[in-house]
Amino acid sequence: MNAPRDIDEEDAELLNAYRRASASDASGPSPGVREAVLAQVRRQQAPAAANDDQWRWKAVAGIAVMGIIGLLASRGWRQAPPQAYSVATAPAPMVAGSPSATSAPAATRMEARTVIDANTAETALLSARQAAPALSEINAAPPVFADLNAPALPAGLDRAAAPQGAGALATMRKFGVVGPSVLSVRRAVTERFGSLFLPQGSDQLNLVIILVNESGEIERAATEKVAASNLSPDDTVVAGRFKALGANPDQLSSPGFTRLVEEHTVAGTPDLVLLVQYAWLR
Amino acid sequence: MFRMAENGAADEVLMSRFAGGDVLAFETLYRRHELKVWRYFYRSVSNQATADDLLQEVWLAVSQAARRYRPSARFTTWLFTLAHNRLVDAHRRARPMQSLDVARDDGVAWADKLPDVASADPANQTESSQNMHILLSAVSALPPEQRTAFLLQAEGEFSVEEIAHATAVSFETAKSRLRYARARLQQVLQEQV
Repeated sequence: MNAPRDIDEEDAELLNAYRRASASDASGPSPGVREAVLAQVRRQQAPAAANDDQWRWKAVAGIAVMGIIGLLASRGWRQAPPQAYSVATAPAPMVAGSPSATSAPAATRMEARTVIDANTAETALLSARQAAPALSEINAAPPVFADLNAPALPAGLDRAAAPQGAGALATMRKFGVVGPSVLSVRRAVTERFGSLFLPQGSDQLNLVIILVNESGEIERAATEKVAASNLSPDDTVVAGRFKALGANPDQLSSPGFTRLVEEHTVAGTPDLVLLVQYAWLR
Repeated sequence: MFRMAENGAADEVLMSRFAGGDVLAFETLYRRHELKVWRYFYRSVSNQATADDLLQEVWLAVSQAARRYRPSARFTTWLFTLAHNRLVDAHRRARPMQSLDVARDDGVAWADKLPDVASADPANQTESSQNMHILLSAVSALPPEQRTAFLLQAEGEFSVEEIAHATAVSFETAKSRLRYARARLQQVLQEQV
């Protein structure tokens, strides 16, 4: 063990005493924590294709969002300049050099300039009309945001996850930007299943299997008894338990396992334990 | 800057390998530092389940941040800084109305509240294991800021400057916290002699 910097001899002795004491202390992480962490990291890393897929989804989602913004922006742009709209609906324009222009009453220089400018605007608008539906058509059937989402969103990405309002957090979580917290699982389970804690050392313990939604609420749950003595690392996160709740692996994210302990308040009584297998619904 | 671990590659190299998809590198890192990080949490929260959860959270955070990791500092400095931030978050969630900054840096008020661990069970005081237990209890009973400073140094091998940076205080404040922590622990040790 390397000696830390900034310490004198007396402090080094104290640190050594602490480290000796720490080394003699048998306490350590609960069995299952290491396996849960490593299993989750393997799942995250293991198939490179899955990672690539995740990036592809992120890219597709990003393009979809950009597309939506583009559509909304173009819609806003079309509605924005009322002058152009009035030109488009105005009576037939006078074109400099055309028969109507020459037969028209004498115009001042200023009026002539106005005619030319209106003609330029008209030409531009006609070009734009060929590429886009008429403004009246857009106003007749105003697209709602959800409809704009429909063609752009990739399969599997539901509209509720679109990045707007409260859904933004869900979307971030869905794409791994925000990691779900084990502590929120602990809180939710303790609130709802507080009666299922059993004394440590019991032959059997209660295991709660939960599926948590994007808001951190328990959406589906089941309980079963497990033999405490036989709880091996392989038993910690079992896909079959999630299937029993009607969820397939591809619907889940961030599965994990935790062990809740309510410490005894009376001397001589054992701590109370509840096991939890959890995952987030995509 | 980086130390080669006793067995195998340096932490920073392992982290880079993990960022490139080598899960075994992560496992090696995890096994190498698991216990230190867990002890940092456990001595801070004195609760096995919470320490387990925080351990799980911090390593998952490490795995998620691997691609962004840049070895500009020791890996353990980065790791324990992540751990410290998780701990602060957990404290805030658990005690939303109480700030960690409330405690005094001079340590007097907190020290008065410390359990009199040195006088516990005098019949066994000569036993080395009992002394060790007393020392660990004294660490857990330190005021939060002093305990954090001491544990970052003892488990994370932080320098005073690194402690100051990780806990967002000045160098002098970090040094002062360490000094009070050591003084209290020295006092406990001397009472055992």
